[in-house]
Amino acid sequence: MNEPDPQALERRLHTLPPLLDVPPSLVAPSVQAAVADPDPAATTRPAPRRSRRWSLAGVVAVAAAAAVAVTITVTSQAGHTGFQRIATLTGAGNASGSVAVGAPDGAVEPVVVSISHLDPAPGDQYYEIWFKTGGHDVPGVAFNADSNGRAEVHITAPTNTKWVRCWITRQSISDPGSSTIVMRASPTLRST
Amino acid sequence: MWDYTRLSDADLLALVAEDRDQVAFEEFFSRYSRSVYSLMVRQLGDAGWADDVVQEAFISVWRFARTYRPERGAVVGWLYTIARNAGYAAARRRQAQWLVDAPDRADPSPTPEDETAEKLEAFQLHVCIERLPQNEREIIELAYLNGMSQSEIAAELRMPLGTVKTRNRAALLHLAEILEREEQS
Repeated sequence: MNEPDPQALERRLHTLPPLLDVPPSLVAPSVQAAVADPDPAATTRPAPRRSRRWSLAGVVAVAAAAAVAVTITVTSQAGHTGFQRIATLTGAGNASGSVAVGAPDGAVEPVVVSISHLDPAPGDQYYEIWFKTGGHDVPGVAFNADSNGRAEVHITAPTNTKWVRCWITRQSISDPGSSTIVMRASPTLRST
Repeated sequence: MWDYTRLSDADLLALVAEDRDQVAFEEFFSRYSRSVYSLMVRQLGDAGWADDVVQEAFISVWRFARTYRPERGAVVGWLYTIARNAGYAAARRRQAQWLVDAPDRADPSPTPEDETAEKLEAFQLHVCIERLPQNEREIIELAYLNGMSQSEIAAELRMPLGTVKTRNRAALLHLAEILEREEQS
């Protein structure tokens, strides 16, 4: 975007993939599906699906937050029997939860994140769970807590993923630069 | 009655956000649907799957139009984020396809930032090409995106080679101007 001269532009264009025509059958349904969507201001908005790296500011914010650890074991985690690895999630206030990694099923393994006492994200905000694997931050899925502060997120991960760390951010769709870590796994998740 | 084709992207989003204006949304869709669709096909590698995700991306546009803030940047970047994240969410739903389909990748992590920047640039360039008049856009797409020679374009469009060269040059200059304006916004 910095070189408006035609030769530089030509070089960029030569590496650009083709623009594809939208199938005609897609146009009207897309518009209709969108405008049929309820007004988010008038309804409970589902969490948007986004992913983005978290900011240092978020780390600082969470470091300042009082963390309450809740120990959850495999046997006491209702509905998670049979999961091979489990880690606790702790956060500000009474927020708590667990991350359970299940037995592999072929190329994938289930991950269930269960959370309680987490305030529903306000306004245009939402929560997103992240994992660190092999030195990279991997977004899990965006979600929101219900009015009772509960959420259960199901993720399918590649088998034998080397989980190193897990945390949950609260993000704003209108301000992609901001991100606050609100919960994180303790102890560290690590593949066996 | 608005002439929606003359409204800015930000104005269209404002009409969508404040008035739930369907015509404004249709105009926005027509401006960006090819760029978003092309991005989704590249990101997901499956045109049929991309159909669904394009729908989801534009549902998000409708739903979250009110979150766009002009002072924080151009519509293109905002839309790119929405589209890319719709693609990521779709990939996650398809049972870890992001790893299973790419066994030669040593690392299952999401797109590195430099690659993301490259995709954003490609998306922006696609958007700017879409803003060209049809006769200029046609030349640019045939010459650069589809790799046709100027002689082939002349045959395809049934016009003299000299006209193709002249129009190509004009289209490049015009595109450069649009790019510069987009960057400044």
